[in-house]
Amino acid sequence: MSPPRRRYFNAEGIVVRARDLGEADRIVILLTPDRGLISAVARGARRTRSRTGGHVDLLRHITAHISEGRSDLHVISQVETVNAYLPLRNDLDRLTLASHFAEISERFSLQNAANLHLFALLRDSLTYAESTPKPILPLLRLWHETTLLTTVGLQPQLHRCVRTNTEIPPGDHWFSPSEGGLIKRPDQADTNTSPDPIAFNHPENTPIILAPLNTIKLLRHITRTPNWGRLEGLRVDARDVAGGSRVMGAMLRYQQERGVGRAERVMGEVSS
Amino acid sequence: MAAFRPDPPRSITPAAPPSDAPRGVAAPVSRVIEAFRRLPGIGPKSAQRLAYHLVRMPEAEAAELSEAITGVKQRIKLCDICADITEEPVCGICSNTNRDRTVICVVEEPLDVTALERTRAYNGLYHVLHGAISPTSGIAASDLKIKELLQRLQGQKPSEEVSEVIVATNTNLDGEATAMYLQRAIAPAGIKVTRLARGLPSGTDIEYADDATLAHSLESRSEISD
Repeated sequence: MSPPRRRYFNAEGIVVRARDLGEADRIVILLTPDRGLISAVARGARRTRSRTGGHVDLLRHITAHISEGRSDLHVISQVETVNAYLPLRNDLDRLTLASHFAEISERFSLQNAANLHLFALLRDSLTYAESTPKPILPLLRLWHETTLLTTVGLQPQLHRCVRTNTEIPPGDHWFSPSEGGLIKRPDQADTNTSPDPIAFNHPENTPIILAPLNTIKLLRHITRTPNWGRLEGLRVDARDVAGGSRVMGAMLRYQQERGVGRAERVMGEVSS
Repeated sequence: MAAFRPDPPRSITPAAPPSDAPRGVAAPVSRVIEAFRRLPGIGPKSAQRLAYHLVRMPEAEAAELSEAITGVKQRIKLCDICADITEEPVCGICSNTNRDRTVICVVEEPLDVTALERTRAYNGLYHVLHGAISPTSGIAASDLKIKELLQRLQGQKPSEEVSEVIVATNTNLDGEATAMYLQRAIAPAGIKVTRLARGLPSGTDIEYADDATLAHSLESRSEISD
């Protein structure tokens, strides 16, 4: 009986994670538009004369001819780079930000589950990270995180109170990561102190965060602006961006069920 | 003296026969199979083959192997100066007075020192980071021997003042991140920071080279001399 024929497929994807395997191989995790996350081995990729090695480094947009494995681990037989994002590799701040994008995109993706929008968001965000002026990078991060949550169906509720379902009036309010939206601040509450824990804290004890008026306005504007090009030119106070990042960061951490991300930790040391 | 970072303690005495060991295998053999399985690049079949090779090995040879394994963990430590693996407080390269003390080559792993020494093209000193900054794996500068490198550069004797730091980290994303971090941390001290040249390896076909390699090759092109 002849051995079963190997099945091949072509895939386009971005390398979101890679790790060494054995003597000279590398396992890469690709975020693809039509198959979600796929894992594949690039044989001999760490050898200096490897034909695949240079193409399967992290944060590369590639097309690959892949031999289907018996398990979920496939084998890359041919690979070409679509975009190496070279400017990211020459700037530590851009590189760590791009790694953060890749990390959270992977966390919200599934194996063998197509998600064209998530792939396109990562591809576009990496392109924007190449050339966005450095002072605007925190806004790009906030846009990416907010758009990612919206893409995966977790858009924060910024217009109605998640507890009372009443409209949020203009002013400072609270944001609950576990409930996914704003909590209307009672008139008597002082925004400079924590609210009454019994009345305000969620049963899961996730701390709620102060969301000042301008932060709320900015987040609302971002959720209405899926196009980064229209947001890039916006003049925004750095404090409002930082406020928005605190809110979105807390929501991301809650949804991922873990603390500070790997790239975030490195970003903290790089920027300090 | 810098102590070699021990691996977290792990028992290799399985409560039940490990799943990788074939059924009916004597407990001491399955214990060895399980121990071999933990080595990088060793699969279950290789682990079994190695274990049965040990069973057939003369007792003296097996004892020598066992002594070598325990010895490597007991006797080695990190060099007080460069953090390379050594038996003495200061390694052979750092204590060699014939080496050029004004140049330090920074590498990721002790094996990289061996690779560079094989070239016989470098006569300076080294500094081993024991890893690379990896944003995707969450390895930050504080997890590496970077603080020790900066202290070493600050505390140098005037006669042995370092004029150049060669960053010889890998040319992958983590290596690049580490190189950029080092450049940012060292350059303000007025020390020249250089990076190993990147380009096409000998004997390679240009059509298979990736964009980054080709771009670096073009940037670092050199004139053909007679």
